[in-house]
Amino acid sequence: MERMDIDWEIIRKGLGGELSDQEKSLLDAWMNDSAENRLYYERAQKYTDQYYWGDGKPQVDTNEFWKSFVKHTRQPKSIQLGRILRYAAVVFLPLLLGGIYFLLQKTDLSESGYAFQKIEPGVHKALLVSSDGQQIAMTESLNVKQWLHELPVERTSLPEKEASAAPLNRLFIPRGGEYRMSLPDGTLVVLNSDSRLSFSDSFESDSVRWVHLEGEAFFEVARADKKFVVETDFGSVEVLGTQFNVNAYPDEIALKTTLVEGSVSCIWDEGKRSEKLIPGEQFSLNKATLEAEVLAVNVQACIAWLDGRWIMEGESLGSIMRQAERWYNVEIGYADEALADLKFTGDLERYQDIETLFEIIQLTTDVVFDIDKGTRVVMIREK
Amino acid sequence: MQAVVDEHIIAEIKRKDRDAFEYLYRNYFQKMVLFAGSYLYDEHDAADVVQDVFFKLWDRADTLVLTTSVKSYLFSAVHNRCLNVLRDRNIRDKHNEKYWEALLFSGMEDVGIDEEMQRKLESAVRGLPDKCREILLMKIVQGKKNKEISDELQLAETTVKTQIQRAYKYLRNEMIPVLLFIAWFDHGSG
Repeated sequence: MERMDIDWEIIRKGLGGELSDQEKSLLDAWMNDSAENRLYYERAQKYTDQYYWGDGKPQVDTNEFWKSFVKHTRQPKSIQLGRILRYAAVVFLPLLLGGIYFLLQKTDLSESGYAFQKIEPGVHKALLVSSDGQQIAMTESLNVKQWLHELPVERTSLPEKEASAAPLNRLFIPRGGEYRMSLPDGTLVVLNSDSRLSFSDSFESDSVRWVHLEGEAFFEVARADKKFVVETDFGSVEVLGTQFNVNAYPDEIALKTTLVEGSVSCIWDEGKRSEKLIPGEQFSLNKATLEAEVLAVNVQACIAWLDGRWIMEGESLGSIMRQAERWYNVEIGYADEALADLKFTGDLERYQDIETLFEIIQLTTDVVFDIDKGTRVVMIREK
Repeated sequence: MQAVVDEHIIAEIKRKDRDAFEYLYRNYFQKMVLFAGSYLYDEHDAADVVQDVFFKLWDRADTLVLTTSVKSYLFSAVHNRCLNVLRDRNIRDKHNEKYWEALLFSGMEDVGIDEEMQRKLESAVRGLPDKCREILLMKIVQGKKNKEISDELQLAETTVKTQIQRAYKYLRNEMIPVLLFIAWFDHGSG
Protein backbone atom coordinates (compact mmCIF):
# COMPACT_ATOMS: atom_id res chain seq x y z
CA MET A 1 0.00 0.00 0.00
CA GLU A 2 1.20 3.50 -0.89
CA ARG A 3 2.22 5.42 2.22
CA MET A 4 0.59 8.66 3.03
CA ASP A 5 2.27 12.04 2.60
CA ILE A 6 1.61 15.02 4.83
CA ASP A 7 2.62 18.68 4.75
CA TRP A 8 4.75 19.89 7.60
CA GLU A 9 2.41 22.85 7.90
CA ILE A 10 -0.37 20.55 9.11
CA ILE A 11 1.79 18.97 11.76
CA ARG A 12 2.91 22.40 12.91
CA LYS A 13 -0.66 23.63 13.10
CA GLY A 14 -1.57 20.50 15.04
CA LEU A 15 1.17 21.25 17.56
CA GLY A 16 -0.05 24.82 17.82
CA GLY A 17 -3.71 23.77 18.10
CA GLU A 18 -4.76 25.69 14.98
CA LEU A 19 -6.19 22.92 12.79
CA SER A 20 -9.37 23.11 10.76
CA ASP A 21 -11.59 20.01 10.82
CA GLN A 22 -10.41 18.94 7.41
CA GLU A 23 -6.75 19.34 8.35
CA LYS A 24 -7.37 17.44 11.55
CA SER A 25 -8.65 14.44 9.66
CA LEU A 26 -5.54 14.54 7.46
CA LEU A 27 -3.34 14.56 10.54
CA ASP A 28 -5.28 11.68 12.11
CA ALA A 29 -4.99 9.65 8.94
CA TRP A 30 -1.25 10.24 8.82
CA MET A 31 -0.85 9.22 12.46
CA ASN A 32 -2.89 6.09 11.89
CA ASP A 33 -0.74 5.24 8.91
CA SER A 34 2.13 4.03 11.10
CA ALA A 35 2.97 3.72 14.76
CA GLU A 36 6.23 5.57 14.08
CA ASN A 37 4.35 8.57 12.73
CA ARG A 38 2.26 8.70 15.86
CA LEU A 39 5.32 8.40 18.06
CA TYR A 40 7.01 11.18 16.12
CA TYR A 41 4.02 13.46 16.64
CA GLU A 42 3.77 12.66 20.33
CA ARG A 43 7.43 13.36 20.86
CA ALA A 44 7.05 16.62 18.96
CA GLN A 45 4.21 17.66 21.24
CA LYS A 46 6.19 16.95 24.33
CA TYR A 47 9.38 18.52 23.04
CA THR A 48 7.81 21.77 21.81
CA ASP A 49 5.77 22.13 24.96
CA GLN A 50 8.81 21.65 27.15
CA TYR A 51 11.48 23.49 25.18
CA TYR A 52 9.79 25.89 22.79
CA TRP A 53 7.11 27.49 24.91
CA GLY A 54 8.12 26.14 28.27
CA ASP A 55 11.16 26.94 30.35
CA GLY A 56 13.17 23.77 29.76
CA LYS A 57 16.40 23.49 27.82
CA PRO A 58 17.53 20.19 26.38
CA GLN A 59 20.39 19.03 28.59
CA VAL A 60 23.28 17.42 26.79
CA ASP A 61 26.69 17.04 28.35
CA THR A 62 29.13 18.22 25.70
CA ASN A 63 32.09 16.99 27.74
CA GLU A 64 30.81 13.46 27.76
CA PHE A 65 30.49 13.43 23.96
CA TRP A 66 33.87 15.08 23.61
CA LYS A 67 35.50 12.40 25.76
CA SER A 68 33.87 9.67 23.75
CA PHE A 69 35.05 11.34 20.56
CA VAL A 70 38.62 11.47 21.85
CA LYS A 71 38.46 7.83 22.90
CA HIS A 72 37.27 6.68 19.49
CA THR A 73 39.70 8.74 17.47
CA ARG A 74 42.87 7.98 19.38
CA GLN A 75 45.92 8.03 17.17
CA PRO A 76 49.02 7.68 19.33
CA LYS A 77 51.52 8.67 16.67
CA SER A 78 49.88 11.88 15.61
CA ILE A 79 49.36 12.91 19.21
CA GLN A 80 53.06 12.55 19.96
CA LEU A 81 53.99 14.49 16.89
CA GLY A 82 51.44 17.10 17.83
CA ARG A 83 52.98 17.47 21.29
CA ILE A 84 56.48 17.90 19.95
CA LEU A 85 55.30 20.48 17.47
CA ARG A 86 53.43 22.29 20.17
CA TYR A 87 56.44 22.47 22.48
CA ALA A 88 58.59 23.64 19.63
CA ALA A 89 56.06 26.30 18.85
CA VAL A 90 55.99 27.40 22.46
CA VAL A 91 59.72 27.95 22.36
CA PHE A 92 59.99 29.66 19.00
CA LEU A 93 56.71 31.32 18.32
CA PRO A 94 55.02 32.27 21.55
CA LEU A 95 53.83 35.62 20.27
CA LEU A 96 52.39 34.28 17.06
CA LEU A 97 50.60 31.47 18.86
CA GLY A 98 49.29 33.86 21.44
CA GLY A 99 47.90 36.02 18.69
CA ILE A 100 46.17 33.17 16.96
CA TYR A 101 44.91 31.84 20.20
CA PHE A 102 43.48 35.20 21.04
CA LEU A 103 41.61 35.22 17.76
CA LEU A 104 40.21 31.79 18.49
CA GLN A 105 39.45 32.66 22.03
CA LYS A 106 37.70 35.84 21.12
CA THR A 107 35.19 34.04 18.98
CA ASP A 108 35.03 31.29 21.53
CA LEU A 109 33.85 33.78 24.08
CA SER A 110 31.30 35.43 21.88
CA GLU A 111 29.89 32.19 20.56
CA SER A 112 30.16 29.81 23.43
CA GLY A 113 27.02 31.05 25.11
CA TYR A 114 23.80 32.66 24.17
CA ALA A 115 24.36 36.27 23.38
CA PHE A 116 21.30 37.04 25.44
CA GLN A 117 22.75 35.65 28.63
CA LYS A 118 25.66 37.88 29.46
CA ILE A 119 27.04 37.91 32.95
CA GLU A 120 26.47 41.50 33.91
CA PRO A 121 28.12 43.43 36.71
CA GLY A 122 26.37 44.62 39.80
CA VAL A 123 23.76 47.28 40.31
CA HIS A 124 22.97 49.68 43.08
CA LYS A 125 21.08 47.67 45.63
CA ALA A 126 21.00 47.02 49.35
CA LEU A 127 18.87 45.57 52.09
CA LEU A 128 18.41 47.49 55.31
CA VAL A 129 17.43 45.50 58.35
CA SER A 130 16.43 47.97 61.05
CA SER A 131 16.95 47.43 64.76
CA ASP A 132 13.34 46.31 65.16
CA GLY A 133 13.67 43.72 62.43
CA GLN A 134 12.03 45.55 59.57
CA GLN A 135 13.54 44.72 56.21
CA ILE A 136 13.65 47.40 53.57
CA ALA A 137 15.00 46.74 50.09
CA MET A 138 16.77 49.92 49.08
CA THR A 139 17.17 50.29 45.37
CA GLU A 140 17.64 54.04 45.15
CA SER A 141 20.20 55.81 47.22
CA LEU A 142 18.34 56.76 50.34
CA ASN A 143 19.18 59.05 53.16
CA VAL A 144 19.13 56.76 56.17
CA LYS A 145 18.51 59.72 58.47
CA GLN A 146 15.26 60.50 56.67
CA TRP A 147 14.29 56.89 56.78
CA LEU A 148 14.97 56.54 60.50
CA HIS A 149 12.93 59.65 61.20
CA GLU A 150 9.96 58.30 59.33
CA LEU A 151 9.75 55.24 61.53
CA PRO A 152 6.80 54.85 63.93
CA VAL A 153 6.94 56.85 67.16
CA GLU A 154 7.13 53.84 69.51
CA ARG A 155 10.60 53.37 68.26
CA THR A 156 11.92 56.39 70.11
CA SER A 157 10.33 55.27 73.36
CA LEU A 158 12.07 51.89 73.43
CA PRO A 159 13.48 51.16 76.89
CA GLU A 160 17.09 52.21 77.40
CA LYS A 161 19.58 49.43 76.91
CA GLU A 162 23.19 48.96 77.77
CA ALA A 163 25.56 50.26 75.18
CA SER A 164 26.82 46.79 74.25
CA ALA A 165 23.29 45.61 73.60
CA ALA A 166 22.23 48.68 71.64
CA PRO A 167 20.00 47.60 68.79
CA LEU A 168 21.72 47.70 65.42
CA ASN A 169 20.60 48.69 61.99
CA ARG A 170 22.29 46.53 59.44
CA LEU A 171 22.80 47.23 55.78
CA PHE A 172 23.51 44.27 53.52
CA ILE A 173 25.02 44.78 50.08
CA PRO A 174 24.73 41.54 48.12
CA ARG A 175 27.25 40.20 45.65
CA GLY A 176 26.93 42.23 42.52
CA GLY A 177 25.55 45.20 44.44
CA GLU A 178 26.98 48.59 45.33
CA TYR A 179 25.40 51.24 47.51
CA ARG A 180 25.86 54.90 48.33
CA MET A 181 24.17 56.40 51.37
CA SER A 182 24.48 58.98 54.07
CA LEU A 183 24.46 58.16 57.76
CA PRO A 184 22.40 60.17 60.28
CA ASP A 185 25.35 62.51 60.97
CA GLY A 186 25.76 63.34 57.29
CA THR A 187 28.72 61.02 56.73
CA LEU A 188 28.77 59.62 53.21
CA VAL A 189 29.40 55.88 52.88
CA VAL A 190 29.85 54.05 49.60
CA LEU A 191 29.65 50.31 50.08
CA ASN A 192 31.17 47.84 47.66
CA SER A 193 29.67 44.45 46.72
CA ASP A 194 29.27 41.71 49.30
CA SER A 195 29.62 44.03 52.30
CA ARG A 196 27.77 44.61 55.58
CA LEU A 197 27.60 47.79 57.61
CA SER A 198 26.04 47.99 61.08
CA PHE A 199 25.38 51.11 63.14
CA SER A 200 23.53 51.68 66.34
CA ASP A 201 20.10 53.19 66.74
CA SER A 202 21.56 55.95 68.86
CA PHE A 203 24.23 56.80 66.33
CA GLU A 204 23.89 60.55 66.88
CA SER A 205 23.53 60.57 70.65
CA ASP A 206 26.30 58.05 71.46
CA SER A 207 29.64 59.33 72.70
CA VAL A 208 31.35 58.07 69.54
CA ARG A 209 29.96 57.59 66.06
CA TRP A 210 30.44 53.86 65.71
CA VAL A 211 29.93 51.56 62.71
CA HIS A 212 30.97 47.99 62.09
CA LEU A 213 32.14 46.98 58.61
CA GLU A 214 32.64 43.67 56.90
CA GLY A 215 33.68 44.12 53.28
CA GLU A 216 34.80 47.32 51.61
CA ALA A 217 33.60 50.87 51.99
CA PHE A 218 34.68 54.42 51.31
CA PHE A 219 33.87 56.98 54.01
CA GLU A 220 33.63 60.73 53.76
CA VAL A 221 33.16 61.51 57.42
CA ALA A 222 31.22 64.62 58.32
CA ARG A 223 33.24 66.86 60.61
CA ALA A 224 32.10 66.78 64.24
CA ASP A 225 33.58 66.86 67.72
CA LYS A 226 32.76 63.22 68.25
CA LYS A 227 35.09 60.56 66.96
CA PHE A 228 33.95 58.40 64.07
CA VAL A 229 35.01 54.76 64.52
CA VAL A 230 34.96 52.08 61.84
CA GLU A 231 35.32 48.76 63.55
CA THR A 232 36.16 45.56 61.66
CA ASP A 233 36.80 42.08 62.97
CA PHE A 234 40.53 42.70 62.81
CA GLY A 235 41.03 46.27 63.86
CA SER A 236 39.43 49.67 63.77
CA VAL A 237 39.91 53.12 62.28
CA GLU A 238 39.29 56.30 64.27
CA VAL A 239 38.79 59.71 62.72
CA LEU A 240 37.26 63.10 63.22
CA GLY A 241 36.49 64.19 59.69
CA THR A 242 38.18 62.86 56.60
CA GLN A 243 38.01 60.65 53.53
CA PHE A 244 39.31 57.11 53.55
CA ASN A 245 38.71 53.65 52.20
CA VAL A 246 38.53 50.48 54.28
CA ASN A 247 38.90 47.05 52.70
CA ALA A 248 37.93 44.39 55.24
CA TYR A 249 36.69 41.40 53.29
CA PRO A 250 36.86 38.19 55.33
CA ASP A 251 38.39 36.28 52.41
CA GLU A 252 41.28 38.70 51.91
CA ILE A 253 44.49 38.12 53.80
CA ALA A 254 44.95 41.80 54.64
CA LEU A 255 42.84 44.56 56.16
CA LYS A 256 43.62 47.72 54.22
CA THR A 257 42.84 51.31 55.06
CA THR A 258 43.75 53.98 52.52
CA LEU A 259 43.66 57.63 53.51
CA VAL A 260 42.55 60.17 50.93
CA GLU A 261 42.25 63.33 53.02
CA GLY A 262 42.66 64.40 56.66
CA SER A 263 44.08 61.95 59.17
CA VAL A 264 43.10 58.64 60.73
CA SER A 265 44.36 56.25 63.39
CA CYS A 266 44.38 52.56 62.61
CA ILE A 267 44.03 50.43 65.71
CA TRP A 268 44.61 46.68 65.93
CA ASP A 269 45.73 43.82 68.15
CA GLU A 270 42.80 44.40 70.52
CA GLY A 271 43.58 48.07 70.87
CA LYS A 272 47.20 47.51 71.89
CA ARG A 273 48.77 48.89 68.77
CA SER A 274 47.98 51.85 66.55
CA GLU A 275 49.35 53.71 63.57
CA LYS A 276 48.56 57.21 62.25
CA LEU A 277 48.26 57.76 58.51
CA ILE A 278 48.81 60.83 56.38
CA PRO A 279 47.00 61.28 53.04
CA GLY A 280 48.30 58.96 50.34
CA GLU A 281 49.29 56.25 52.77
CA GLN A 282 47.83 52.80 53.08
CA PHE A 283 47.78 50.76 56.25
CA SER A 284 47.90 47.04 55.51
CA LEU A 285 47.41 44.51 58.29
CA ASN A 286 48.13 40.84 57.76
CA LYS A 287 45.25 39.23 59.62
CA ALA A 288 47.11 35.99 60.24
CA THR A 289 50.38 37.33 61.61
CA LEU A 290 49.04 40.71 62.86
CA GLU A 291 52.01 42.33 61.14
CA ALA A 292 51.22 45.75 59.77
CA GLU A 293 52.92 48.03 57.29
CA VAL A 294 52.29 51.53 56.06
CA LEU A 295 52.99 52.19 52.39
CA ALA A 296 52.70 55.15 50.08
CA VAL A 297 50.20 54.05 47.44
CA ASN A 298 48.38 55.31 44.39
CA VAL A 299 45.26 56.47 46.19
CA GLN A 300 43.29 56.93 43.00
CA ALA A 301 43.80 53.26 42.15
CA CYS A 302 42.56 52.22 45.59
CA ILE A 303 39.34 54.17 45.33
CA ALA A 304 38.84 53.78 41.56
CA TRP A 305 35.93 51.46 42.32
CA LEU A 306 33.96 54.52 43.40
CA ASP A 307 34.02 55.80 39.82
CA GLY A 308 33.18 52.41 38.38
CA ARG A 309 36.80 51.85 37.36
CA TRP A 310 39.02 48.98 38.23
CA ILE A 311 42.74 49.68 38.33
CA MET A 312 45.18 46.83 38.88
CA GLU A 313 48.84 47.38 39.53
CA GLY A 314 50.78 44.15 39.58
CA GLU A 315 47.78 42.54 41.18
CA SER A 316 47.54 38.75 41.37
CA LEU A 317 44.96 36.86 39.34
CA GLY A 318 43.67 35.41 42.62
CA SER A 319 42.99 38.85 44.03
CA ILE A 320 41.38 40.07 40.79
CA MET A 321 39.15 37.02 40.67
CA ARG A 322 38.05 37.43 44.30
CA GLN A 323 36.85 40.90 43.33
CA ALA A 324 35.19 39.50 40.20
CA GLU A 325 33.35 36.97 42.37
CA ARG A 326 31.89 39.75 44.48
CA TRP A 327 31.11 42.13 41.71
CA TYR A 328 29.75 39.74 39.09
CA ASN A 329 28.38 37.20 41.53
CA VAL A 330 30.22 34.23 40.03
CA GLU A 331 32.24 31.40 41.54
CA ILE A 332 35.82 31.00 40.33
CA GLY A 333 37.82 27.79 40.34
CA TYR A 334 41.34 26.98 39.20
CA ALA A 335 42.51 23.88 37.37
CA ASP A 336 45.91 24.67 38.87
CA GLU A 337 46.12 26.84 42.00
CA ALA A 338 49.47 28.25 40.84
CA LEU A 339 47.59 30.26 38.21
CA ALA A 340 46.22 32.46 40.98
CA ASP A 341 49.72 33.93 41.43
CA LEU A 342 49.97 35.38 37.92
CA LYS A 343 50.30 39.19 38.07
CA PHE A 344 48.38 41.76 36.06
CA THR A 345 48.33 45.47 35.46
CA GLY A 346 45.40 47.13 33.83
CA ASP A 347 42.63 49.70 33.94
CA LEU A 348 39.11 48.85 32.95
CA GLU A 349 35.52 49.72 33.54
CA ARG A 350 33.83 47.72 36.20
CA TYR A 351 30.46 48.13 34.58
CA GLN A 352 31.42 46.04 31.55
CA ASP A 353 30.37 42.42 31.44
CA ILE A 354 32.69 39.77 32.77
CA GLU A 355 33.79 38.52 29.35
CA THR A 356 35.47 41.82 28.64
CA LEU A 357 37.58 41.33 31.73
CA PHE A 358 38.48 37.80 30.66
CA GLU A 359 39.35 38.90 27.13
CA ILE A 360 41.74 41.51 28.44
CA ILE A 361 43.45 38.99 30.70
CA GLN A 362 43.69 36.48 27.86
CA LEU A 363 45.34 39.09 25.67
CA THR A 364 48.47 38.87 27.76
CA THR A 365 48.36 35.41 29.29
CA ASP A 366 47.96 31.78 28.33
CA VAL A 367 44.95 31.15 30.50
CA VAL A 368 41.48 30.08 29.41
CA PHE A 369 38.22 30.90 31.17
CA ASP A 370 35.50 28.27 30.83
CA ILE A 371 32.24 29.95 31.72
CA ASP A 372 29.15 28.00 32.68
CA LYS A 373 26.49 30.65 32.45
CA GLY A 374 23.84 28.51 34.03
CA THR A 375 25.64 27.91 37.31
CA ARG A 376 27.80 31.08 37.03
CA VAL A 377 30.89 28.99 37.66
CA VAL A 378 34.11 29.97 35.91
CA MET A 379 37.03 27.53 35.67
CA ILE A 380 40.46 28.94 34.94
CA ARG A 381 42.95 26.66 33.28
CA GLU A 382 46.18 26.91 31.39
CA LYS A 383 45.89 27.06 27.65
CA MET B 1 37.93 37.96 11.98
CA GLN B 2 35.73 34.94 11.34
CA ALA B 3 37.46 34.30 8.04
CA VAL B 4 40.89 34.34 9.67
CA VAL B 5 39.76 31.93 12.36
CA ASP B 6 38.14 29.67 9.78
CA GLU B 7 41.19 29.49 7.58
CA HIS B 8 43.29 28.59 10.57
CA ILE B 9 40.80 26.04 11.85
CA ILE B 10 40.30 24.32 8.50
CA ALA B 11 44.03 23.74 8.23
CA GLU B 12 44.04 22.30 11.76
CA ILE B 13 41.06 20.06 11.04
CA LYS B 14 42.82 18.65 8.01
CA ARG B 15 45.78 17.80 10.20
CA LYS B 16 43.35 16.13 12.64
CA ASP B 17 44.47 18.44 15.37
CA ARG B 18 42.53 17.56 18.47
CA ASP B 19 42.52 21.13 19.78
CA ALA B 20 40.73 22.26 16.65
CA PHE B 21 38.07 19.61 17.16
CA GLU B 22 37.72 20.54 20.80
CA TYR B 23 37.19 24.12 19.72
CA LEU B 24 34.38 22.99 17.41
CA TYR B 25 32.80 20.91 20.17
CA ARG B 26 32.89 23.73 22.65
CA ASN B 27 31.48 26.26 20.22
CA TYR B 28 28.94 24.35 18.24
CA PHE B 29 27.98 21.07 19.88
CA GLN B 30 25.15 22.41 22.04
CA LYS B 31 23.69 24.50 19.27
CA MET B 32 23.91 21.68 16.75
CA VAL B 33 22.02 19.49 19.22
CA LEU B 34 19.29 22.12 19.55
CA PHE B 35 19.23 22.41 15.79
CA ALA B 36 18.89 18.64 15.27
CA GLY B 37 16.38 18.50 18.13
CA SER B 38 13.97 20.61 16.11
CA TYR B 39 13.79 17.82 13.55
CA LEU B 40 14.05 14.78 15.77
CA TYR B 41 12.23 15.98 18.89
CA ASP B 42 14.55 14.06 21.15
CA GLU B 43 17.76 15.47 22.58
CA HIS B 44 19.48 12.09 22.84
CA ASP B 45 18.84 11.21 19.22
CA ALA B 46 19.90 14.73 18.31
CA ALA B 47 23.19 14.41 20.20
CA ASP B 48 23.89 11.07 18.49
CA VAL B 49 23.39 12.63 15.07
CA VAL B 50 25.72 15.50 15.92
CA GLN B 51 28.34 13.14 17.30
CA ASP B 52 28.15 11.17 14.08
CA VAL B 53 28.72 14.33 12.04
CA PHE B 54 31.93 14.91 13.99
CA PHE B 55 33.12 11.34 13.43
CA LYS B 56 32.51 11.74 9.70
CA LEU B 57 34.40 15.02 9.70
CA TRP B 58 37.33 13.30 11.42
CA ASP B 59 37.30 10.39 8.98
CA ARG B 60 37.24 12.65 5.97
CA ALA B 61 39.45 15.35 7.41
CA ASP B 62 42.49 14.79 5.19
CA THR B 63 40.47 14.98 1.99
CA LEU B 64 38.14 17.68 3.20
CA VAL B 65 37.31 20.47 0.77
CA LEU B 66 35.34 23.31 2.30
CA THR B 67 33.76 25.99 0.20
CA THR B 68 31.77 27.48 3.07
CA SER B 69 32.59 28.32 6.65
CA VAL B 70 33.16 25.45 9.06
CA LYS B 71 29.97 26.42 10.86
CA SER B 72 27.88 26.25 7.69
CA TYR B 73 29.42 22.90 6.90
CA LEU B 74 28.54 21.47 10.31
CA PHE B 75 24.98 22.77 10.32
CA SER B 76 24.27 21.61 6.75
CA ALA B 77 25.63 18.18 7.60
CA VAL B 78 23.21 17.97 10.53
CA HIS B 79 20.40 19.38 8.38
CA ASN B 80 20.92 16.75 5.69
CA ARG B 81 20.87 13.90 8.15
CA CYS B 82 17.75 15.19 9.82
CA LEU B 83 15.93 15.53 6.52
CA ASN B 84 16.05 11.75 6.32
CA VAL B 85 13.81 11.62 9.35
CA LEU B 86 11.20 13.77 7.63
CA ARG B 87 11.50 11.58 4.55
CA ASP B 88 10.95 8.43 6.61
CA ARG B 89 7.84 9.99 8.12
CA ASN B 90 6.63 11.05 4.65
CA ILE B 91 6.58 14.66 5.69
CA ARG B 92 6.84 17.27 2.95
CA ASP B 93 8.32 20.63 3.85
CA LYS B 94 7.68 22.74 0.82
CA HIS B 95 8.25 26.11 2.51
CA ASN B 96 11.42 25.08 4.29
CA GLU B 97 9.64 25.88 7.53
CA LYS B 98 11.44 23.14 9.36
CA TYR B 99 14.75 24.74 8.57
CA TRP B 100 13.55 28.09 9.84
CA GLU B 101 12.24 26.53 13.02
CA ALA B 102 15.51 24.71 13.61
CA LEU B 103 17.44 27.94 13.11
CA LEU B 104 15.12 29.81 15.42
CA PHE B 105 15.31 27.35 18.25
CA SER B 106 19.03 26.76 18.09
CA GLY B 107 19.66 30.48 18.66
CA MET B 108 18.63 32.51 15.68
CA GLU B 109 21.38 35.06 16.05
CA ASP B 110 23.87 32.41 15.16
CA VAL B 111 23.49 30.94 11.72
CA GLY B 112 23.47 33.03 8.61
CA ILE B 113 22.49 36.26 10.26
CA ASP B 114 23.84 39.38 8.69
CA GLU B 115 23.01 43.04 9.23
CA GLU B 116 20.21 43.04 6.72
CA MET B 117 18.57 40.11 8.40
CA GLN B 118 19.12 41.59 11.83
CA ARG B 119 17.32 44.70 10.61
CA LYS B 120 14.41 42.68 9.25
CA LEU B 121 14.17 40.73 12.45
CA GLU B 122 14.13 43.91 14.49
CA SER B 123 11.39 45.39 12.37
CA ALA B 124 9.43 42.13 12.68
CA VAL B 125 9.78 42.28 16.46
CA ARG B 126 8.62 45.90 16.40
CA GLY B 127 5.54 44.78 14.48
CA LEU B 128 4.37 42.56 17.33
CA PRO B 129 1.50 43.74 19.52
CA ASP B 130 2.87 45.57 22.58
CA LYS B 131 2.04 42.95 25.20
CA CYS B 132 3.28 40.15 23.01
CA ARG B 133 6.57 41.92 22.33
CA GLU B 134 7.07 42.73 26.00
CA ILE B 135 6.64 39.08 26.95
CA LEU B 136 8.92 37.84 24.17
CA LEU B 137 11.67 40.26 25.16
CA MET B 138 11.37 39.32 28.83
CA LYS B 139 11.72 35.67 27.88
CA ILE B 140 14.53 35.95 25.34
CA VAL B 141 16.51 39.05 26.26
CA GLN B 142 16.10 38.93 30.03
CA GLY B 143 15.97 35.13 30.11
CA LYS B 144 13.01 35.07 32.49
CA LYS B 145 10.96 32.00 33.15
CA ASN B 146 7.28 31.88 32.21
CA LYS B 147 6.34 31.88 35.87
CA GLU B 148 8.40 34.99 36.58
CA ILE B 149 6.86 36.80 33.62
CA SER B 150 3.34 35.86 34.69
CA ASP B 151 4.03 37.07 38.23
CA GLU B 152 5.52 40.32 37.08
CA LEU B 153 2.78 41.17 34.60
CA GLN B 154 0.04 39.61 36.70
CA LEU B 155 -1.10 37.29 33.94
CA ALA B 156 -1.97 33.63 33.98
CA GLU B 157 1.01 31.43 33.13
CA THR B 158 -0.92 29.89 30.25
CA THR B 159 -1.45 33.38 28.83
CA VAL B 160 2.28 33.94 28.83
CA LYS B 161 2.80 30.65 27.02
CA THR B 162 0.12 31.50 24.44
CA GLN B 163 1.66 34.92 23.87
CA ILE B 164 5.08 33.37 23.26
CA GLN B 165 3.54 30.92 20.79
CA ARG B 166 1.84 33.83 19.06
CA ALA B 167 5.06 35.81 18.91
CA TYR B 168 7.01 32.95 17.34
CA LYS B 169 4.24 32.29 14.87
CA TYR B 170 4.17 35.92 13.83
CA LEU B 171 7.94 36.09 13.54
CA ARG B 172 8.00 32.91 11.51
CA ASN B 173 5.53 34.32 9.01
CA GLU B 174 7.52 37.53 8.75
CA MET B 175 10.89 35.87 8.44
CA ILE B 176 10.23 32.92 6.13
CA PRO B 177 10.77 34.86 2.90
CA VAL B 178 14.12 36.08 4.22
CA LEU B 179 15.19 32.65 5.35
CA LEU B 180 14.14 31.02 2.12
CA PHE B 181 16.50 33.38 0.40
CA ILE B 182 19.31 32.52 2.77
CA ALA B 183 18.70 28.79 2.44
CA TRP B 184 18.85 29.18 -1.31
CA PHE B 185 21.97 31.31 -1.08
CA ASP B 186 23.76 28.84 1.21
CA HIS B 187 22.92 25.87 -0.93
CA GLY B 188 23.42 27.74 -4.18
CA SER B 189 26.90 28.91 -3.28
CA GLY B 190 27.91 25.91 -1.22
